[in-house]
Amino acid sequence: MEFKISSRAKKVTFTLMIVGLIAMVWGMFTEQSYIHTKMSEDGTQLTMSYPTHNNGENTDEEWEQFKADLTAAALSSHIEIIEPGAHGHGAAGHGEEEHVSHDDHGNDEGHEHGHGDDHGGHHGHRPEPTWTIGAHVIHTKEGMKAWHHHEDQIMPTLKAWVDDHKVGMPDHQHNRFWSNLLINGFFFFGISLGALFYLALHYATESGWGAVILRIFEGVMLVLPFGAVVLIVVFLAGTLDWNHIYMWMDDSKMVLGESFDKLLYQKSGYLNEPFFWIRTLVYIGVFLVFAFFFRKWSKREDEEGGLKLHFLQYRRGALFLVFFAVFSSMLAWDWIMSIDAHWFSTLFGWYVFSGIWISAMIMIMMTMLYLKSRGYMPQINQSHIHDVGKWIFAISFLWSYLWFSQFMLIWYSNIGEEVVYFQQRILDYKFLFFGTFAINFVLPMVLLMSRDAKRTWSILVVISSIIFVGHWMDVYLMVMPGTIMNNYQIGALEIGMFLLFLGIFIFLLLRNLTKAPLIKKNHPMLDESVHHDF
Amino acid sequence: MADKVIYAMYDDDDVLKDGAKKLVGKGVHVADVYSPFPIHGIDPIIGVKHTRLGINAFLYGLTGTMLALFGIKYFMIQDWPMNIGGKPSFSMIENLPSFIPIVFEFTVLCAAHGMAITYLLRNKTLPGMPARNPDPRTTDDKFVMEVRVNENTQFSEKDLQAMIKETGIIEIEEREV
Amino acid sequence: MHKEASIREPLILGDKSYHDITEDVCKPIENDAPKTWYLLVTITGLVALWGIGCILYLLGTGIGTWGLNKTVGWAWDITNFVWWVGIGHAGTLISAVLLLFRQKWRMAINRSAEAMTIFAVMMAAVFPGIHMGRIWVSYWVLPLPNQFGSLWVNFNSPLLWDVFAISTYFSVSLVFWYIGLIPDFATIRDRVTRPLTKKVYSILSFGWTGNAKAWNRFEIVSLVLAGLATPLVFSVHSIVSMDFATSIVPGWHTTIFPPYFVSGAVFSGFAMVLTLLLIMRKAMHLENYIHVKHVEYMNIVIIVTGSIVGVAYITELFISWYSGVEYEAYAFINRATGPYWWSYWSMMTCNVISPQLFWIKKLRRNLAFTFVLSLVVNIGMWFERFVIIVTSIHRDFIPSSWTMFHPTWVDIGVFIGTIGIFFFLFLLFARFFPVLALNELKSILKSSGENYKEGFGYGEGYWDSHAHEGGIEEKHD
Repeated sequence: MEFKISSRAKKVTFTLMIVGLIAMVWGMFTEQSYIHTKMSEDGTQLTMSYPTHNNGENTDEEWEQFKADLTAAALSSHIEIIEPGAHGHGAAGHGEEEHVSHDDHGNDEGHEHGHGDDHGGHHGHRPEPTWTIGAHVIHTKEGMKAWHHHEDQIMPTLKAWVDDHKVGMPDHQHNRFWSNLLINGFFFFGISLGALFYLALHYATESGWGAVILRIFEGVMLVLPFGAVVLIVVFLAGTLDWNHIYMWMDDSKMVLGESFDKLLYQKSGYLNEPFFWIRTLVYIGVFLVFAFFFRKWSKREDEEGGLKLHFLQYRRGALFLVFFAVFSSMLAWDWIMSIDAHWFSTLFGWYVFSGIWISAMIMIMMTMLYLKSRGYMPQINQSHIHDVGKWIFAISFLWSYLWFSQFMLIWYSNIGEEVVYFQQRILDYKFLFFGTFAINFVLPMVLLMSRDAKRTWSILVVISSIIFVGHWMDVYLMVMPGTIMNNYQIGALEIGMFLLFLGIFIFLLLRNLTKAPLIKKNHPMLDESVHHDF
Repeated sequence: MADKVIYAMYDDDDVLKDGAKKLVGKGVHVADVYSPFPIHGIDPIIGVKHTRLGINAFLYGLTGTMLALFGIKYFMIQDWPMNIGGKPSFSMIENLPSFIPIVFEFTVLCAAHGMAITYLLRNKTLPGMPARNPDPRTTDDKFVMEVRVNENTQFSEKDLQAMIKETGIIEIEEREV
Repeated sequence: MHKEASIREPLILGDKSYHDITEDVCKPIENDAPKTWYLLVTITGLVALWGIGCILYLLGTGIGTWGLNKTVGWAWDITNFVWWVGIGHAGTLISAVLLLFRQKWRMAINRSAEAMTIFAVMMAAVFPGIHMGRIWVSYWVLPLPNQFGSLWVNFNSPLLWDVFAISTYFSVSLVFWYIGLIPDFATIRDRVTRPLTKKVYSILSFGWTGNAKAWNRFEIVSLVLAGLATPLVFSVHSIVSMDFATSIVPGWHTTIFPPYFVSGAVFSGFAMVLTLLLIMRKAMHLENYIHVKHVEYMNIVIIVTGSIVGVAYITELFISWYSGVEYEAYAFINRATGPYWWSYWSMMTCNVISPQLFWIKKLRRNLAFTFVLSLVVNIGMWFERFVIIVTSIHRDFIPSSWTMFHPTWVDIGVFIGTIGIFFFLFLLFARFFPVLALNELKSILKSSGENYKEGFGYGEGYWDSHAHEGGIEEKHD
């Protein structure tokens, strides 16, 4: 049966794209730079610093403008800002000290709350602008009234304004934008990759039940180039120093000097741009070649039939799994783990892989249910849906198991250079970090446990949607703490870009589905699959 | 009142299933079926309800989780807090990661054993229980259908026997119980 | 109606009926045992006695009879423990995970694999037990109310997690196994004639009747137990790995340990299953039920798990360099080039390189080759644990305390003894228990039996149309 994209599906996907695009662009222009705040111990002084980069584009004027804005905002709330010391712009004060100590202990990423910043490392040759202030209430009637009994809240209020971007400066480096691009690029690339993996697994294990839904896997798998292009754009921008996601791409860390990073220097045999590009292109190239040929053979099988092509795919499926076993771990190290380049975890690759896998299965489930609800693919019965539901349930467990194994072992051993990764996430992202785990684990476990739930469409759709976002959030938590520290938000930019990508992905997926009959014609296990029932 | 039971023996599971379907279609109530292995699809035909043992297992598991959590909270947090590996046990939540493994194991322990015991009790299978299968061959390669005369009073015994005989049986036997 | 694709190979060869299956499995139990069985029982029994003697000597004299020293405080004993627990993973994996994956080939091997699991876990439990020294107070590992003040076991300790994990695993596996055995004991009960035998099997079969409701419950219990046992299998070896991974010892502390140990466990477990089954199928004439296809499937599992283990080895090695932690890096350099280099390279050869030979179809369908390789894998997996445990700690942070570990005759004696006990128990099992799951095999005869697949000489698909003349639409899998 041929599939046609209905006009409604077109409308929905285009709306998603347009709304997403508008929100994203709006979010991009209201992005603000990260200003690091630190309160003195007695709570009377607030130190603000702005981590500059080698080619940081924020100008001194903007920094001065920020100071003026904050002063003005304070005044309107009856607070006068005072500068206790002569800590002005570029002074060799606190910020400088911190800067030096950071480079001395390349692997000592320990830091106080709020300074989740090994990318402070990016601050290059220019000393970071620092501004230390105190404040007191203006002794007017209104001022006394407003802050009566709340004088101790003045400094925290100022800090909160800066932290919450009520007062801030525009970000010309668009760190948040690039981080989001990486998150979405990787997440949606992962969905296609997961589908490719599962397709290969299905062939290599001689599974029969899923023969009727293999075309859906192919459809999802063939969106691979989209994610690949986005990832390449992000890496290219990193290589050209347009973004600062990968700290090891910063050449100044490789030469002795202020920014020298001993650890990164040690790792430069692996983490260097040429090798990184070779690896990246090899992964993507191999995946694309396999995806291309699986599709080609599958279409040819439709025409020719016979077992030859089936066994060819069986063997190539096994071969793909060999490549995938190695590449899935390595790409996770290269693309994600190297954001926190000082940190390492042997399990990381397998953990990322489980996230990829589940996102793919959710996409398959949703596509299946959509097609079925539109009257396509009558061969799909409740047993197929149940089976995909089981996969979602099982991989949720696998993901949670790997999440917990990684977290618990690092938490338990409490070794400085490892635990910093989670420390940063717990201190700055506590709610999101544990919330994501709880949702991705508990929701499918409790609600998808029963047989009936896995056969009830409404439950499947609701749970799948929630954990789909949950696994996007998981990627978010892998990237953001390393790139923009505690300066994170989930605002128009994040939501907009997610919707934009989702719209494009679904549209491309549906378009792929139109290009071949929805059910394979000559798969030798088709009959078994059509009669799949348990 | 003494009841009469007709035991019809088949040598193929599919033939029995066919026969049961036909008989049930005519309004005969099939009391039970004895077989050497589970015949798939027989339950809805003869009206055997789906077991709720699964729900039981879930409840036993939940009990296990709760017991483990409360137990550990009492042992490690309330009764005798210890400082182990620089992780003082002042609060449950901060030590939770290292309690998860035992909570999990205990959950599985309770769910599995609880369900197994319930299963044995519900099936009345315990050491020393007598076997109640009508013919020893039903644990080898024969399939027996049990029809009670009392439950099928709308038919005469003769009709009942005749109807059953049409379904491809190999033996038929009537017993008083 | 369930259909099986015609390209699938049959799982039960020959012209078998339901009755033939019963006969083939029950005959060895009912007939007198062959002489070789008595011979083997005697040999393994003697080895077992020797092992028990060593254990008694150890308990009477003390742990000092082992080769442990201050630097290497854990060596031979814990290696054996992890090795046995690992072997004990295949049975439940086969019966639980493969049940969830609806792999029919598991039905011929699950019964004996589970028996093997149970015996292997028993052997594993011996080692921490005797390492306690005062085995008569071993119940102190349980959180029992006591009069020593408020003295509770430490729930933060991975060693206590082990206590819970192993005992849960053992008892749940036992229950799972026994519930499957009940209907098959009933089959034997209904066949045997000797009064005493009948009485014994009658008690063992718990009065199983085999009515529809009982089967209905049986199926759901198997399914739910499988669902519970699957995460349990993962958790047990994960927890065993956490004995090491929660520490801060270079070479032990690494996050990949839990899944990598699980994979290694399945790997070694399948190897042991192959070792046992290849002999058993010959000795008990079960070639029609456990044939080349089954062996091939198991060999594929061996390639997959062996490769996962290989990827994990390389990952560890790479990350030890990538981490920039010199101690971590040294631990791995020391493994490969230090005084225990031979154990490292034995491990690499046996576990990573040799299973790759199974990529060649001819080899993975060759029974003799498989048998040899299964032994190789078992040896390799023993070395893996030895490498992880001993080479990581024999050179610790103080070079003056660097030392070597040398096993004593007691170390070796206890290990050999457990192998004896293990095979002794398995021989008893093979003699008195139905070694194949009768009820499960019968349920796949029609879909996977050779005769049915080929339509009794009437050609393919004959049975499909023939058996369902009555218009049955639904035959569930």
